[in-house]
Order: sequence, then C-alpha cells, then structure tokens
Amino acid sequence: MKFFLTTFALVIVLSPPAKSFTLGGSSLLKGFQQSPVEVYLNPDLCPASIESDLKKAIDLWQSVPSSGLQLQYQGLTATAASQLKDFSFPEALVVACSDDFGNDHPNGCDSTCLDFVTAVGGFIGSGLSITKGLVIVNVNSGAQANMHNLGSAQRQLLLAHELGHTLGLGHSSEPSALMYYNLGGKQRLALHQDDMDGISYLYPRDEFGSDPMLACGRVDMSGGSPLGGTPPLWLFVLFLTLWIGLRLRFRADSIQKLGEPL
Amino acid sequence: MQTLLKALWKPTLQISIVIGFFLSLCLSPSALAQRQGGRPPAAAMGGTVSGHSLMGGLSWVSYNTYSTTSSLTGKKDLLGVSYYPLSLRLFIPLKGPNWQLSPRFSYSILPRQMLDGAGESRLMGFTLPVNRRIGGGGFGRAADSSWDWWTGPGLLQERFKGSGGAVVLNDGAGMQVFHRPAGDRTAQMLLWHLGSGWTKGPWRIDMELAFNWPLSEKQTQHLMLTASYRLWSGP
Repeated sequence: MKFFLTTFALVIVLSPPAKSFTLGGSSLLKGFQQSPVEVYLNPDLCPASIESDLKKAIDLWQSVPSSGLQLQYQGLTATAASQLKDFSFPEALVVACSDDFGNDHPNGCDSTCLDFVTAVGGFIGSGLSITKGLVIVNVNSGAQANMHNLGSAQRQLLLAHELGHTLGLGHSSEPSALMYYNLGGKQRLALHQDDMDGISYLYPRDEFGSDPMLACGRVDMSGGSPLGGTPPLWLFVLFLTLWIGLRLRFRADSIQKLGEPL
Repeated sequence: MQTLLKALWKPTLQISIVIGFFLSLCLSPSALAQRQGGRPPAAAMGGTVSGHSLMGGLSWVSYNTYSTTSSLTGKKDLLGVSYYPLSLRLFIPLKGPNWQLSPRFSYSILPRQMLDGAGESRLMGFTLPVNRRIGGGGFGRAADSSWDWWTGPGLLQERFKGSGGAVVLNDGAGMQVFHRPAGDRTAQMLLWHLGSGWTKGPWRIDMELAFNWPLSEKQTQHLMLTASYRLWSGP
C-alpha cells in the first residue's frame, strides 16, 4: 500500500499546473458556426513552402480530440492582402502575404511595427459568432519581421498562432503556449494544454450530438495511417511493465503464503 | 514501397497490441490452470466470491498524457494535467467467478483551476467495462485477493466554466486587454479503456489507460490510477 501511496503522491506533485487562455472578442464569444471552416490561400509574394506550412498549422488545430473544430484547406484564391482588411472577401478564412503590410494591416502598422510584427490574424463576427477570418503575412521588403527571414518551423508556428486568432483565441499568459505573444524561443509545432483548453472551449466536441462518433466517414487518406494517429507504444510498454512487476511481487507473496498451513 | 510500409506499420502495430491483449487473457496462468483441471480460484474482482459489490474510489487522471507540451522545444510532456475524480463502481457477476461487468461513474468534485481564477474545468465520466479475472491469491485455494484485466467503452465529458472578466496581456506591440471566457461549454468524447485491477479484501487498486483510438481520428490518451474501497456487497 505504501508503494501505491508514494506513486500517487509523486504524480500529483510532479503534474504540470494548468494555465489560462483568453478570447479575442467578447467573453461569451463562440467560434465559427459553419463547419468545416474553409481555408483559402493566396500564395503570391509568400515563401515557397507556405502551402505546406499552412496545412501543418491547420492539422495542428484540428488534432485536438476534445474539440469539434474542423478546418478544411480549400486551395488557392486570388483574393489579395489589400482586399482583406475590410472583410469584404467572399471566403470564410483567407491567408495572404503583403508587401505593403503597413497599409494592409487592419489597424495600421508603422515602421517600428514592421520590424516586430510578422503577421496578423483577426476575425469579424455576427453577434457572438465568427463569420470571417484573415491572416495577413508581412513580406515587406526591408522589414526585419519579413516572413522570408524565418525558417520553416517558425513559419509554421507563426501561421498556427495567427490561425488561433482567426478562430477566436486571444493571447495566453503561458509562455509555452502557442498563443503566447512571443514565439521567438519556440522550436517545434506543438500545443500546450492551455491551447487545447481554449480551442475546446470555443469549439467543444460532442460525439453524442453534432460530431460524428466514428472516424469511418471522414478518414483522411492523404497521408499517414488510415486509422489515425497511434497511441504511443511506450505507454503500453510502461503499463504492461508496471502490471507485470506488481503481479510478480504479488505472486512472490502468494508463494510465500502457500508454504504456510491453510 | 516505403510509403506503403509506413502506412501499414501503424495499423499493424495497433492491431497486434489489441490481439496481444486478448491473447493474454486466454493464456493467463489462471485460465490455463482452469483448462488443465485446477480448482477455480475463490476470490472475485469486486472482493466477493460471486455476488454484487459497490466500490467508491478516488482517482488521479493524467489528462492528455504525452499529447501536449510545456516547453519551448515542443517536446511532449510525459504527464498531462491532473484531475482527481471520485468514482462509484458496481461489480455485476456475468458468468462464473471470472467474468464481471463493472459500470463506473466518476466526477471530479475538485475542479482543475486555471491561472488567476479565470476559469475551471471538470471531468465527468461513465465507463462500461467487462472484467476478466486472471489470477491471484495462490491458485487452487481460497484467498481474499485477485487480479483482473478489464476493457470497455467510456464517455468522457469535460466541462469548462469561465469566470469572465478581462486581463491585460502583451500583444507583441504593447499591452492590450483580452477577454477571459465566461459561461459553460461542454465537450464529450468517446474513449476506449484498458485497465488492470488488484483487489485485496475490501480494497482495490486500478491502473488504466483511456484512448480515443479506434473511435476517433483525433488521438489522445489518458492515464488513470484509482484506489477504491468496497462500500457494499450483496448476493
């Protein structure tokens, strides 16, 4: 019993604490009501890998099991960055690059801003629901924050972060979260529990209601396993090892007892 | 060819694990002992020989185990965030002393707190596993302890309750007001549970893994340890 209590106490003490996400709009904001949310890209002026970077960012957000969010990459569009800031474009969510970021940024961006802000993500809504979203990427020549100056991992992180804004999330106070304002130190595309909480709050999954229960009807055959991701093997190994260890210990006790008179 | 092998590898691995699990039930020492004419063990999973029993317990749930990161490198954490639900589990004999149905309801009375009291979340779960006793207590003699494997589907509900208000955070260019969530939102997931339990007298310890596969294309896994006590036993 001491073993179990010690293990229990250790895992409680070692568990990471939860943090808090924020919303980009009202505290009662709901996300896009349409599903799936269709994402379009205008690749003009963008780095060559932007399409694959965007797809990875999309995959990241829709990998959260407790979230019913469905993002669907719809391909290319001709809608230019200069057409985005007044939200008059017909698509639901558009990603585009701008070499005139100062003017195309919905709130304007001065020379200092041009050296610090690589992209902006935003949305417009009707009531508490989001109807349209945009991501404008800074490719201003001479600007330090020009996306062409970033590596592929940073571009993916940046696009995923801005997509988070277009989906309704604000910044997080957790430095390890994708939605933290500064992505400078981050090396790999990953979600913190805080990001998962945020997207699950805005797009909660309901497998007994609106969301399909089984994956059969919407399996993505474009790559990887047709059955989806794998539960990590090491967890099963850990589980089995613990079980076998405990069982052997128990059997040793039993064998000892068998020597005693019944 | 490499792509094909890569695509086949994951499902093959998953199917092997499941087949291995069920084979382990059939080939466990107690199952073999019984087929070879040994006396069936007297202890059962809920702590009674063949009747019903109700157990109350406290669990630790590592939610989203190996799915999220808390580091700038993006390396996934071994453990997820913690919940501490209370549970009630009824053991119902199915066939002989070795098979039982054990529906369980659990609810985290203590919520997981978010930073600065901005919100909290709770877990509520219902699991419907079938237990297969696999040994314990010294085979062929009466004992008050037993081991069992169990598996079954479960519904996990996560409820977020935001306390609303606003917080000032950096937006990259300066400080800006952001809104905290307000109101309740509920997410429901179907999971598959795989667990093992040890019963001794009125006490029981369970260790389990709950995962979305194969019920969903979105994958996470949750680790759970439960200590429970027999509250009632009947015929």
